[in-house]
Amino acid sequence: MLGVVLALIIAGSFFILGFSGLRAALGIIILFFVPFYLIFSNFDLSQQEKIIFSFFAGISLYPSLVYWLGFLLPLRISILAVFIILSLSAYLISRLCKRSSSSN
Amino acid sequence: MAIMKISLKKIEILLIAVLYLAALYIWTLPIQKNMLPFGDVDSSSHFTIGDYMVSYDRSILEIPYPVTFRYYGQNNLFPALLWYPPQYWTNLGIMQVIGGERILPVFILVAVFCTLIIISSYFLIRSLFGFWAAFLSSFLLVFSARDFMIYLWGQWPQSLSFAFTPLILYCFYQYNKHYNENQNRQIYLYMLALFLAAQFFFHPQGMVASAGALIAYCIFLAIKKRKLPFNIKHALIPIVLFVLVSSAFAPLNVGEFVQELASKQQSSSGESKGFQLDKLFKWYHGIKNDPGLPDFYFTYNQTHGSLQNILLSWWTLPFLLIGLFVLAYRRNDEDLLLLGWFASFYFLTRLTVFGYGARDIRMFAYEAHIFYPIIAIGVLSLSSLAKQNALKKYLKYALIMVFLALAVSINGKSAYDVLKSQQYSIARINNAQYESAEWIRINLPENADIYDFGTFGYQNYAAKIKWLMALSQRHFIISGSELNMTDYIFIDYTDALALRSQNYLGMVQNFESNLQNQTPIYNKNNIKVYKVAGIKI
Repeated sequence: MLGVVLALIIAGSFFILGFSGLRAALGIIILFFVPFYLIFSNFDLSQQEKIIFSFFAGISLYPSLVYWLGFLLPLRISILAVFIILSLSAYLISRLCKRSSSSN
Repeated sequence: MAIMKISLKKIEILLIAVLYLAALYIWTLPIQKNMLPFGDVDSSSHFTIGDYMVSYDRSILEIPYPVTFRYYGQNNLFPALLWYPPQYWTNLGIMQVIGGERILPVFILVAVFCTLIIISSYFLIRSLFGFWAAFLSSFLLVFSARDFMIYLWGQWPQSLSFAFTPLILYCFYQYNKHYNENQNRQIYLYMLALFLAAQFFFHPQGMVASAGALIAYCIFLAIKKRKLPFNIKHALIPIVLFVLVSSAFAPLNVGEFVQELASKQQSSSGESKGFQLDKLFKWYHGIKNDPGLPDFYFTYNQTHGSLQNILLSWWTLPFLLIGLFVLAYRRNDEDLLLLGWFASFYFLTRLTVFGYGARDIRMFAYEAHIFYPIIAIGVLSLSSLAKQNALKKYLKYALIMVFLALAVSINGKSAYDVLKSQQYSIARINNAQYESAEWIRINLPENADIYDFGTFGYQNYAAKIKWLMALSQRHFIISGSELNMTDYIFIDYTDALALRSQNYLGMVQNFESNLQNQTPIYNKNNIKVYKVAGIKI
């Protein structure tokens, strides 16, 4: 269902605003939403909660991290670096949760 | 039965997705055929910081030179530093990078942020009152004049901040619900703390609104159940989390916020204002001719109906009153949440009564977020007037159809007309102005001071001048006291020509005649730039 909704949003964005809308929608989903959705997938939340919480957490924490890293690295690199760090964090959290649930 | 339930859920999700896309279509009308910037008041300021970050390819802490003329000192504790936490602006900068363009991706993200209340409100109301209350409420929010005017005026961070309030209320509602069932779901308190910190990042007014709603809700619950609605030990970790996250990501704004919160309103003579008890009995304070806001902002029918001020624009008011009555009559926990939110809104829009809060009028910005769910409840509750179940069902769907028809034909038409009219408004930057701003950015020194004569609103240093400043990243003079700093003069005929006004054109020509001995360093598309350092204006 999530895939259907995302596809609808991407298609709708293209229909409304053309290629710029498509690129913007993809960027928003990939950068702001996906890493946090992967992180929150490890917690005991409903699917709707994961979706909504992920997006709102993403638009708050993602720029927070990019901003501070942007004093050490070029901004463009920071954007990519934060995405990689968050995605890795999601993977590590997932491994930790699996390990702790298997040890229980 | 289970298969049918799953299908209904999918249909609900698809419906809200389609509704949100429809909202984005309407709210992006200003940029669908005209991809140049728009927005009044603060919009150019919110655009410019992210724009600078992308230009320099790094984060910035100090206010750039051109922007200091408007915002230096607004951060009381660190006057030379950014006046808000940087997250909103960083998001806009990120969008420039991933969108690959300077203007359009930014405005797409602004439209998304300003419409997020549709989603967060749906999420909260769906969990409290079911699909139809949530859908009808969010449907009406698509056309909310309170919200699209904030969008057009450029108070973008405030708009996003208010969108978090329904999530915060949801988190506390879920925590309390499980707490009453002796289940420990502290994750909701952690999310609540995170979202409160997010509100602080984007605009502390949202955080104040949420805090007020939470306090009122807790008081109502405590009175009803005669016990605290939360465990005090559970509450400590979110408080610590909120302080840590806020301090880590907005350290330079924490002190400034506390100082502003505690400040008393000042009269024009600098004395503290006393009590203004009469405002307790006037919903919109009886305000007229406010210097910052139009009169319609302080009416019910125009802000929650149609800006055309027709009789039918009052249509939501009876449902609002019915909804309030139903909530007060039922007083379930879900009803108390909305009542708490309503009560806190009333209190926060009347801080002026006690001489506090210079921004209580700005709190009216989230009025629709509370009113529209109550209106939806009022509409749906009328179906219970029917005695037989079959009649109840038909009455319910008839009421829903009437609601949707009125929402579209009155509120929707008004919203559509206003947003579409922005496409080619004279208040927007035109292509010639954008091109000249780009030339200035590349060719004039960073500390250049430019006086604009001719751009629409130049007499009052209005929004377009500020947009030229943002787009050129150079100081355009925005106050008479800065005139003696002029290094360059920007002569702009484009708006006079667009308006086909001979008087306007004549004024610009007359002014330019003072420079007849000078050669413009830029002369294109009816815009000229002269270097005039040392010449008195």
